Amino acid sequence: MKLPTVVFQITAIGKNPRALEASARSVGYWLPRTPRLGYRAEVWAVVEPDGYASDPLRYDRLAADGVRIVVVPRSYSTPLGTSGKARALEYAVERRRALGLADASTWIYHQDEETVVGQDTLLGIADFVRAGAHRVGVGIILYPIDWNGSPSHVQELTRTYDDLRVLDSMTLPGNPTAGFHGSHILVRSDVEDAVGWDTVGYSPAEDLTFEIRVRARFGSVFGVLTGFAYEKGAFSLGDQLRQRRRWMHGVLFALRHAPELGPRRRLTLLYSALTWYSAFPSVVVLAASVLLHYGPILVGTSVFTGFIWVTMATGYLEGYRLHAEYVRRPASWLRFAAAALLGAVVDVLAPWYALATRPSRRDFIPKDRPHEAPLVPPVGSRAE
Amino acid sequence: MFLAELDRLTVELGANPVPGDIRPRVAPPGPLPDEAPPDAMPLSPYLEERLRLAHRAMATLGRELSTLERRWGVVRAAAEHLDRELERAEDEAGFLGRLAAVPLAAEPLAEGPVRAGGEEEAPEARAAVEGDRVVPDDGSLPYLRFSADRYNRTIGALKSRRRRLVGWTVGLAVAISGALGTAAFLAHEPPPDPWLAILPLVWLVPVPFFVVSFLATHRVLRRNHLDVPAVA
Repeated sequence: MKLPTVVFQITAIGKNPRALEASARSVGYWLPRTPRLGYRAEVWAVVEPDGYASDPLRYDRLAADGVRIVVVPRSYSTPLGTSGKARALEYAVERRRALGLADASTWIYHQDEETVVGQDTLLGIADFVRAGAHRVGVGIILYPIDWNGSPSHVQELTRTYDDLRVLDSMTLPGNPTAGFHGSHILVRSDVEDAVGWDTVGYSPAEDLTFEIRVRARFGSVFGVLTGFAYEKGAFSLGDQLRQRRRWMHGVLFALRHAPELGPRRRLTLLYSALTWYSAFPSVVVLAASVLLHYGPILVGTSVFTGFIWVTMATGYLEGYRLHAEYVRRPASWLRFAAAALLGAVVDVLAPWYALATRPSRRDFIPKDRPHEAPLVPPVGSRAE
Repeated sequence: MFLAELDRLTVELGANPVPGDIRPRVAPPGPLPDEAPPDAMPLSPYLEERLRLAHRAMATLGRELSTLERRWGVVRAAAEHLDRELERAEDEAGFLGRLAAVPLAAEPLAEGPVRAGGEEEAPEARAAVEGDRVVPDDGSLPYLRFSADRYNRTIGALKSRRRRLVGWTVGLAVAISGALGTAAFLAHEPPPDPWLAILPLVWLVPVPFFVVSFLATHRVLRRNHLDVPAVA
């Protein structure tokens, strides 16, 4: 019987080389220390030429240590002419096909440049592959890497708790609340090969498009991937704001330009966007209610207010509890609450910021710790 | 060069002779002007040139010192870098030593990665670690057990408090909503204008999403085991 292969594929621009190296090395570190996994493993880093050029020594060192560094050629174009991350993902699909890795015994574990794996991740993947009950798996992501309890980090706790909703939604027919990830997902290679990532033009929500296509072609083949993945939050509120702007642009783009989106999914997506957009007016209305005397109306609306507030607070608390064994405790609960409020304000403003401004296609969120010096390339290296 | 110029200047000026200096004072070429005051320093046609040379030598020396300082900084940074890399190499060597039986970097690929710039390709190694064949002998199995237990404990704790979470959520929601409603009711404010009355409805937009999320979260916790396999 052929032993399954899992390709740990990190797809990124590559301009956060230290974060990417940590992700790749986490796989290389834990694989040999985790016996009886039952699969072969390869590590791929799929990066853009600019990313490679930002720290060639580091990439070369990774290559020497067994990581396949795939630099997407500038001249490469897909049949439909997609760009951004989808283009790199499609290139990787073609490379795998050329190498005979587009079969049912190969699985692709998708990582962002900061997605670090642990032994539990590897065990979860092994369990999923061994069971073979589903063709795509999605799991829960923690954000303990470089954790410092800042507002942008505290805000990520809610994403972890929200992953439970994502898992449920994704495993239900039709994905009723439009949940999906771009990282910490495991896809059987033949499924990814059949569906691909190619779309017409720019596709900022490539993960959403991919999920829709898989569902359309293979039905409800999604399962829960056990084990956490370990990522890091944005380093600053500004980065958090830009990250959320990118997400919202992805959603808006999908709403307008994704032909794969059926009317029902479009409506779901529209509603989830509307929910996010309603946060800021809600805060404004709450503040204005003191001046404009909404009293009698609030008697009716307050029935749901308590539930929403408690649910939001639960997101922070349970998100933190999920992280408790993986991060240092913040200085105090007061500081934690203040950080949560500040992080929430940024999330409240983010969709409106996305309406007012546009990210560039080469926009990326810094994930390398700013205080660590880059490797100095030797005199005469290619990067100079 | 600089010291030679200083010597020449000293001789030229005849000032501050070094103790023990027995060289005779060199007479300036040409006669001294008669009107020169008796205490005035004798002028020399070479003085200006000597000073210019001295300035130039000083400037050269300054530049060389700056260059030296910069280069020293680079050397020191490189030495620190070397130190760090040696430490890492030592770790790596220890790691590889422990995993001598692991088939790392098995076979070279037929085709390598495309490098920056697009078209050029370079050779590379390929990692192929077969989990089945790796049996660490460095005591990492207890850590594997710890990793799996920690994950299962975290997820298990969340699952175990699911019912309590439902109770607290509903109870607190009712309490907060009740308090807000009571406060609004007791304020006895007059009904607002109709156009203002619709504004608070914006609060209701996310309600279905929150309700569905709440149900989904508890359903996934109830239905799925979510544990990673226990390590023997």
